[in-house]
Amino acid sequence: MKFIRQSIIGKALFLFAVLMAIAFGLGIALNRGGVDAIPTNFFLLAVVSGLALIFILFAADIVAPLKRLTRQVQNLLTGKSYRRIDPTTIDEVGVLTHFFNEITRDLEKISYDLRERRRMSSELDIASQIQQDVLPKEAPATPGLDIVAKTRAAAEIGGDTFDFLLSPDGSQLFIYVGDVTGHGVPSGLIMMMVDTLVTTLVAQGVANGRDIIVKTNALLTPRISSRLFMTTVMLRWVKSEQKFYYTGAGHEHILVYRKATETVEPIKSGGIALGMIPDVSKIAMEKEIPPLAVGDCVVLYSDGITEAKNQTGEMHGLQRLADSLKKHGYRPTAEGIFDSLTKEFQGFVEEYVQIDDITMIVIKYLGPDAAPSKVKLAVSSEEASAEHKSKVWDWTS
Amino acid sequence: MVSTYSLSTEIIRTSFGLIHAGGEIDQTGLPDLENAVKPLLGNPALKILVLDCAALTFINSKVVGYLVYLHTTLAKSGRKLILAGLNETLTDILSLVGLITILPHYETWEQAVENSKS
Repeated sequence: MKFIRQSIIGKALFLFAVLMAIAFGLGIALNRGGVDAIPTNFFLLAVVSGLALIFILFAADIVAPLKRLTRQVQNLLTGKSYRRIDPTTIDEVGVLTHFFNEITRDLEKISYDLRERRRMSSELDIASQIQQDVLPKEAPATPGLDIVAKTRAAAEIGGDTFDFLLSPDGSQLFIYVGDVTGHGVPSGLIMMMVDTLVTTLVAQGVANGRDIIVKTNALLTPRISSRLFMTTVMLRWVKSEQKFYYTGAGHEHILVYRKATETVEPIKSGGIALGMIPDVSKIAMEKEIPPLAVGDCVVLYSDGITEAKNQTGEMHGLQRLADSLKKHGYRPTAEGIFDSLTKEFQGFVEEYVQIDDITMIVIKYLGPDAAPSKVKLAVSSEEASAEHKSKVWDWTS
Repeated sequence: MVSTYSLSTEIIRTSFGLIHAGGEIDQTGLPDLENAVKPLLGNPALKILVLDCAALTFINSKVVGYLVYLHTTLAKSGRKLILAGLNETLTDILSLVGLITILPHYETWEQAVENSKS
């Protein structure tokens, strides 16, 4: 019986067999009743009735479901609204109906996923834009300091940050670079929190880097996951003294190029990353960078620079960056130094698919009498296109 | 670039969870490290987890973040994370972010077990 239910041919053979059985039975019955011959008209009527019966049964069981299915397939193909059909048989038409239902279910899921992806992509674009708006587009020009700062996120949302904030009385310039663990949305949210906190604290008149770090950490730690933290180093430029002070929070070294000796001093930033422990007041310390001479240079960066790997898996590293600075620190402008460091970095990583956010700030000290120069800033993010990935790494997206 | 690493765990003296990690662990190896540590983390009888880093050559900031998470999660339930066998690179990485100041560390995992009371 299963063969009959599962196959149209089986059904046709079954109906034919039934018809033959009826004809045979009728023949026997007529024979027993003494009827030797039947009129032609009666025979034809019986044949036509039998065929009509087969047709009706065939139409009800096969043609009608097939027509229902065809109508819905046409609706699907022409973009009209369609509905799923309950399969009433388990033959080929039933299998096709089931297939149609599965296909439409999958199509709806894919369509939903696409819509969801488009929505998320659009929200990511908005978030990325908000984040780029938070990052500085211009910085206060400070007499004596020539500055270039660039950041490039590894995804739409980055975890690196930097900013230049003038104290309310204009006597001090705070420069900081920060790097949240990893990259992407969670890091971006932490970065936004820290930027907001630091900006607020400076605007409220908190006058030194240590207090800013301690207060930021105290406000940040209870509000973030214990897996996330942000390393940062805060420089404080005191205009009257023409001196930098620094407070580290577990960040990379500060590199100082000395023009007179053509050497580079890596200064350990110290401290503990923001978000690791609730109170860093006993750890955070503000220290002085030994006075700069005209032509000296300070470089801040994130670990995206030092941990970037070349094609053989070798890391760029602090030493390579320090050696580059030693070679190019003599250049007269921050831009010249920045471009040379970038060129050497590019030469090392070549076609690097950026996996971490990269930030670098170059500050050239031009002396107290130098005219203020415009701070050059750039913010960009990695594009996920294959086309871009075949190019040599650079700061632009 | 695929990071190459090795991971194994064992339980010592019923209350020490020991994780032997080797090679370079970054974001690609982190899920395996988490999976390896998970059963130890979920075992309340283990009062101290010792991360044996003797064969570990590099960790990135994501792994450092995970160590901070391990430290805080264990501390909340009165348990402890101890590091052992840190090489120079790892010491530099952990001291850079300041983690070395909050995590106890020993030269070998045997010393960590000997000197720690569970």
